[in-house]
Amino acid sequence: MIEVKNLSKTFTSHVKEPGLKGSIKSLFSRELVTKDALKPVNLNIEQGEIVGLIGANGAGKTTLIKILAGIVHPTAGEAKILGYTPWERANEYRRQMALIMGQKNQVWWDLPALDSFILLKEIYQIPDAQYKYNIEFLAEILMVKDQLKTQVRKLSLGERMKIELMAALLHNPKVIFLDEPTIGLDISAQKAVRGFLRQYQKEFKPMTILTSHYMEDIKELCPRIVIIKSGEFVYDGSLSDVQKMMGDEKVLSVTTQNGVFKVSVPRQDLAKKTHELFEEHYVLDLNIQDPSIEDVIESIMKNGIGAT
Amino acid sequence: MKWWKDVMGMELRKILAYRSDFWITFLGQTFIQLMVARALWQAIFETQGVSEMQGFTLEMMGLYYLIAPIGMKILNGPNFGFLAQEIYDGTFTRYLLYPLSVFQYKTLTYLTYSLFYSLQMIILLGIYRLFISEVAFTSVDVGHLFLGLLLFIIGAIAYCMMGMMIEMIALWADNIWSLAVMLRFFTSFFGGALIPITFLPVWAQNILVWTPFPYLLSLPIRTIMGLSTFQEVTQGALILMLWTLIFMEGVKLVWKKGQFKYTGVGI
Amino acid sequence: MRRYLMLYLYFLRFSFSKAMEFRLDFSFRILMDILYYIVNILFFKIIFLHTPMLAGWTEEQMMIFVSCYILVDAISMTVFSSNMWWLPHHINRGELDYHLIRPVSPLFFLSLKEFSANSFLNLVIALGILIYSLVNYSQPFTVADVLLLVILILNGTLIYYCCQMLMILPVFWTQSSKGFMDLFFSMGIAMERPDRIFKGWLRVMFTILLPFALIASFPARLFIEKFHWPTFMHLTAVSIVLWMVMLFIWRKGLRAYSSASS
Repeated sequence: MIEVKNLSKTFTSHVKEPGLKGSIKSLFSRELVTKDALKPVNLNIEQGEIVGLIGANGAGKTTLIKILAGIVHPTAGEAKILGYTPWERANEYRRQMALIMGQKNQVWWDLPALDSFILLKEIYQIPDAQYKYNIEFLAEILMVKDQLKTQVRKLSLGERMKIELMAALLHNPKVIFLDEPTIGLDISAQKAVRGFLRQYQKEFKPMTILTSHYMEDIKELCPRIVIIKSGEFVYDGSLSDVQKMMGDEKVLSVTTQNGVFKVSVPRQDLAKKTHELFEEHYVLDLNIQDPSIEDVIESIMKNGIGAT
Repeated sequence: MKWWKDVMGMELRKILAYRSDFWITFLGQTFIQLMVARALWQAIFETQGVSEMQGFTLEMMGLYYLIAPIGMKILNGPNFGFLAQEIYDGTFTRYLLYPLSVFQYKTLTYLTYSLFYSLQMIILLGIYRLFISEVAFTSVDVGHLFLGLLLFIIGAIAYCMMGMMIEMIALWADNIWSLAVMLRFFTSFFGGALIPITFLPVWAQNILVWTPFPYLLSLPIRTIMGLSTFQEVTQGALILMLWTLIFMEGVKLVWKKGQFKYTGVGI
Repeated sequence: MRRYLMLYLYFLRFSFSKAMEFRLDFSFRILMDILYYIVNILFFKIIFLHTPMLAGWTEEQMMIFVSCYILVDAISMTVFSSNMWWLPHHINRGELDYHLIRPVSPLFFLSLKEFSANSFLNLVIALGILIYSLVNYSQPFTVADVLLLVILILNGTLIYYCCQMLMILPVFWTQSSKGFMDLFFSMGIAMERPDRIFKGWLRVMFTILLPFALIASFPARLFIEKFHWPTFMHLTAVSIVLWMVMLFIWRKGLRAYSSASS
């Protein structure tokens, strides 16, 4: 169980005027600015659920994940995960949790993966049988059996991500935070990681929060999504329902000599708008569609719910 | 040719970027080194029951150990790693793209630091004279001060060349900071930052004359203190320039061999 | 406890296997340490050209003191130095994240993970210097004296580590550790001087606040001079308090890290 109540986070930072004058001035006095990274948010996640967290850069995704992983202290609010407050960092909590960041490495670069794993076995005190089983199982479905004895820095980006996933999941965590696990990977590696995550979720039923810039990840893995904009949740619900948020809109995709463009129009104005388009442009082709999930989410991320 | 101004301005802003660093290195570090050295010499003077050793009174010793660490800073410029680090992490590549000479650029940034520390030296000497020990300044005057600083700057150029030569070994080995630290040990010991070289046995002093070390530190310190003659100063400056030329040739030679080793990692 | 011991054995294993691949920079580092030993011995040899006694010690007694701090330096170069070198970078670039999510003390991990197997040779040399100066010592001493000296040198290494940590930890708040690290290395010179030369507030500073004088000078004193309870108690008390202060600031620092990182 993840229960988050009114969780918020504010940062303070210094501003410095540009130029040498500003540098000298800042030796003596500095100005402070504050920024709300996370406005009070609420969230509940059940056992076995996987939730997609979506938002633009700087919307507060990573901050939320780091708070729930116990790395960052919130400014106010409460959170209980498996009965623990994450930022108290109880060993019992940490033993049941995993964090995977696509942009940061946790395995040691100079060592073969197996050496890192054996250290993790000791750190998490994984019993021999479980350790052996997990190595077999994970390496099998990730298809990295042959890479386990190679120095990690000599592996490709995709292989390295797979090793990262293995390392994070060796201790069978009940809570998993995945921060952009597919970032920078090519299409086939992305597919492999997605496939693996789906299978893992089915097999072990952990609670998972996943952030990603790739809608494919979200569409394939997360029945439920949370959209975050400037530190606020603007949508929390099922992925299929998100299309309803656009209400009675239709998307016209128009092909002219100059290329293709899209317009979204309320249903009742459809006839009028189509008519206008034919008058204004030399239309080669016209297509009337329901808005795609990508369109809806992009619009929510940009404009929030009310504006659509 | 206005770019040198921008380069120096940018470098200066980097020095001032972290204010705690600035205040600590400016006041803390210098003060601690001075106090420890003074304590040591006080103990030596007391056990010996003398008021002067090798031409130094205790007050002069204090002044000597105020000048020596800042002098080391003037020589060291941006400190070790100024070239090696960039070769290691690949940022060195940008100099190969800029339409200017890497070595001119590096020397210029180096000098920015040296000039900055020279200014610190003047301020600290002023503070020391006003608040701590006026007696130590009996033979010090403005002329000698600037002559000494000039020697330090000439020395810094020579030392910069020496540094570049050593740091470029990073083209062959990953990590050469230990080599740079060794150069610093040598300079501070044989240049007289740890102990004035007049305390060394005479035969050792006679050997040191053939190395650049005494001219890098001992001579400018003594000049600022008003203890060296004009002839010594001009002679020292010439010798330093000679060393600069020698090391410049060295830099060229190492670069000629090493540039083929540069792989541009990290980009 | 057993788990931490096992982990440390893994650290050792990894670092020795890494040291097996010879690299040019490793040998530079060994040379650098040897040069450091030579310069320090020469420094006091030169001082003793001009005075027969310093801070109550003769030259051979001073050499015992010098070999004590050389040994402290060698141990901390091997055990701590690489870790201490990287720690401020890790803190600064927000790389503690993965250490904070593990059920193991991050302090243990960050302080001990990088054992410098290639400095091992220096450890042997430093030990050799200590044995040499003990063998050449003209006064009588017992095995118990030597044992106490060795224990106090190990304790001195911990003090050195704590002092260094105290200079690194401000990076949690100031974002740059360069100033404090420079300060640490210039203060390190206080470890290399007999403590009796420090008087007044300087003495308070180096024997209590940042007890560099307790690293090698107090141990050497307890060995060279008659065992002196007050000195010993002072050493013990300050060591314990220093350790606790360091842990306290470390926890405060982690707290600051957690509220500042994004």
